Amino acid sequence: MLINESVLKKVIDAALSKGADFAEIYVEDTRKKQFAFMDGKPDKAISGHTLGAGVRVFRGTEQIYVYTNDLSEAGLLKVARQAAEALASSQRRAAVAPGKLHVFGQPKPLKTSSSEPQWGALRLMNETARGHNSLITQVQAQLNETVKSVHIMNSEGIHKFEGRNYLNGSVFAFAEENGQRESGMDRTAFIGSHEDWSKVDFKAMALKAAGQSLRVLRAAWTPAGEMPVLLDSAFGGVIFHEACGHGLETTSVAKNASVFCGKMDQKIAHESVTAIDDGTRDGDYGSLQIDDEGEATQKTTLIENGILKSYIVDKMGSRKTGYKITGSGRRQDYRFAPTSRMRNTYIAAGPHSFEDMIKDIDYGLYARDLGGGSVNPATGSYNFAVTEAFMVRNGRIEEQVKGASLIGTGIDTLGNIVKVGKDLKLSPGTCGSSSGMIPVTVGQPPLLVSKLTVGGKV
Amino acid sequence: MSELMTMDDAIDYVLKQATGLDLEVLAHEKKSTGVGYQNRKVDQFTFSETHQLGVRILDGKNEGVAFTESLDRESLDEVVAQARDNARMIQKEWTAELRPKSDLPKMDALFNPKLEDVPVDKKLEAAGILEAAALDFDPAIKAVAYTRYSDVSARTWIANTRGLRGDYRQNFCMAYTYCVAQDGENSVVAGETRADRDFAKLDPRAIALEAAQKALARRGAVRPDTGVYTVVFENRAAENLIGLVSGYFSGKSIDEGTSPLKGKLGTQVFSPKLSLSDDPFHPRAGGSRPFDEEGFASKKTPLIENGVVKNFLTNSVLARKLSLPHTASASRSPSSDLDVGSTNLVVANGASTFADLVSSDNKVIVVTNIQGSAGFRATSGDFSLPVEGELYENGRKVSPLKDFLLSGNILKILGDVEAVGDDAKDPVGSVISPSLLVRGVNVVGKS
Repeated sequence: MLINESVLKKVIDAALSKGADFAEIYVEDTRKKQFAFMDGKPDKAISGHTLGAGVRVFRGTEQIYVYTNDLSEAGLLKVARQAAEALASSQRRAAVAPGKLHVFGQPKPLKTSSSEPQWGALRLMNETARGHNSLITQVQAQLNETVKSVHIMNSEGIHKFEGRNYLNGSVFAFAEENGQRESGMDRTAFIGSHEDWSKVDFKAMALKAAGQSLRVLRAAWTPAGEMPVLLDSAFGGVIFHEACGHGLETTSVAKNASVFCGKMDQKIAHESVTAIDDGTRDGDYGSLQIDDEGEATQKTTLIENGILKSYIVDKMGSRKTGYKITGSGRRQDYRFAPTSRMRNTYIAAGPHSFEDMIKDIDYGLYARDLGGGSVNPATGSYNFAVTEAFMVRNGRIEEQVKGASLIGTGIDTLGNIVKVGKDLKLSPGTCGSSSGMIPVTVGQPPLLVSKLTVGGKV
Repeated sequence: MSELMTMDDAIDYVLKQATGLDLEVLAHEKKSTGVGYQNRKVDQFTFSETHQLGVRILDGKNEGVAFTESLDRESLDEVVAQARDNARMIQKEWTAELRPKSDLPKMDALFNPKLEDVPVDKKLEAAGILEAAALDFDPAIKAVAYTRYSDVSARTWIANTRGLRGDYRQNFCMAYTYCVAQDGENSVVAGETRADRDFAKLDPRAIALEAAQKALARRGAVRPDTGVYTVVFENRAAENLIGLVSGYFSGKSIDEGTSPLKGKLGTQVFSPKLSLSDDPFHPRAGGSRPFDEEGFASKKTPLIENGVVKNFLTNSVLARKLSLPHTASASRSPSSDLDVGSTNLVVANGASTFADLVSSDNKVIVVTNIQGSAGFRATSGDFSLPVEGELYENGRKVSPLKDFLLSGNILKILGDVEAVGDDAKDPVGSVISPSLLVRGVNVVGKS
């Protein structure tokens, strides 16, 4: 428990005092540690402590959010009264008495003794990448440990605490030849504490980054045009995240600013597509026990055999749209009011082998690894970068190419997914939207899209 | 938790805990307000008051950083102890030095006291107009996807155990409206963002109307045919383009060998039409500051002069290490270690009007918006970027364009700039650029 229960009750009472019909306090205590390696030696060690609280009140669909670092009783009551005043009216609501505190695990504290295992992992990545090839001229590697405690009480009886431990790491390798420079990277991110670094194959990460930098360095430009694209598993799932997932969040749906508004129970994708947003997957980066509104997380089927079955719904989104909460209220930290966000989002496995899909392509692109992307939910136009790609001719994977980005619109692309592979894999990432940067995973089996616009050399 | 201190008391307390070590404190306090409307009702109204205090400890070549958001004695003791522990792990190649006690300059233009006194009712009214004026403009505006009024008031302190101590305040307000217009069965979106330090000059109605007009003008957009075109990057899109290369001038990335400009100082890399400077004194831009994050007085630094790379940005350590001029470009936040960064990147205006630029060929694509930078590979400069734009023929706008990409290399594009506009706009961030004309650009649309 971060704040005494009686103080939290006073805060909820003060927040309701001027006519709000709902009040909530979210308290967060986060400790972070960052280790970074550069130029062949330790470069950074940074420790941090963030501590704050946000008080939120609703009246109908109006929302007030006030946040502060001052967690004294006086400080919290001040923000509660500010929030209440902003909704001032003559009515006064009573809160439902909060139940007994439900604790969803205590976080494991950051290690205070030797950090040698972390430095050892970073050294290994540096030495492995540099040792892979003499063209590797620089290696940047980083490990981050985060320990987060959240404590939530609201006027509808929720009183919950969750401890969350996150690990993430990355390695970048830079290659140089004949004045040309390129980089490659790999990353890992999952729910765990410092002893779980032992689960990571740092050598494989370094080899992937180094190998990618060299392959891209020597690749020719992707020929531009519209063509079939085979998107490989794991981070390939960013296509669903961008093309569809953001448009299913009630943040966009409630504003009539999503191409998926009014499409519930309608066919929005090829019948081979079933898509799921699942916060319950053990250890995955986007998993939670409770969301940042204190609701139990869920496994939500978004699309079943091409039919839209659910939006991604937070508390305010539920008020505005009438759809049931899906446990999807998330936020980066106390500086953000929660809103509807994805967790671990993936397209379910289908019947096709990889070979079966490749042989269907006369001329197209095999996108083996993807980078970041973005979407405009109102138009459905999305884009994302391809990190590693190969041309496919007459059913065979041929030369590697560089510089491809893919664009399309969500509804067209969902309709153009013609084959779904067997081998589902997920990959972690960080998603940025109106409630900040949050940990998620994306995933899919290999997918064959019959037509996408590929940016490259004309 | 013991009693919370004021920031000034917390800084005094931390400096006293240094006991023989060189210690620097960088701290922020921020207050903000934000209001968004949806369907003519307040959708979200946010207030905040936050602070953060960061400690950097130097012990010979060893250096460690830690930060906290809790200003009680235990937390401050802990942040000093953690920075000290971190310093034991990190030995830098070059010894950093704290700046001794000096008079720190002021920059009064960054803070407008009147903005602090704007009543909340006026902010709510402005936020309401940002949405309502757009919805009322034309029935084809079917929704406002995003709209918000916000303001921030911040104070930054730097202090160290060598007696240096100073602070400055800055504030600004910002507003945006992004409209959704019906376009047959589809939707199009466009918007307008403006920022100012004077609330009275931030005209919410004008922002809403411009957003609505831009959205309506996007109706009927078509895909261009794939090909090689003459392209004008309109001023705001040119700002996006210049923003992509901001890290290339960092002395740190030169030192680490990750910038493509390594070894190019004094050489003609860019178009002779292009001049770019790092200007920390622009009164309206977001990156202005009186001194850098080591406490050195800000300087204006030419980065490109007529296409020649003139300087890289340095802090005190990199200036010594690379034997380059010290540009007072130390950059760090309370939660990060010492780096370098640009303040405001300003492209010098040229002589061409926008009408001149779009008349430079029979057929010209004007890029109005770069939609995300995921397709930019900073290490090589290669890019494949989704954009929006307009087709001009014989100097006249023919059609809005959608669903296309530009591909190429950023150094080649900025090397091929043939003309520079005279139309830089008031900044909404920290990059300022007029429109830029480039011939021979790969455009990927309809096959």
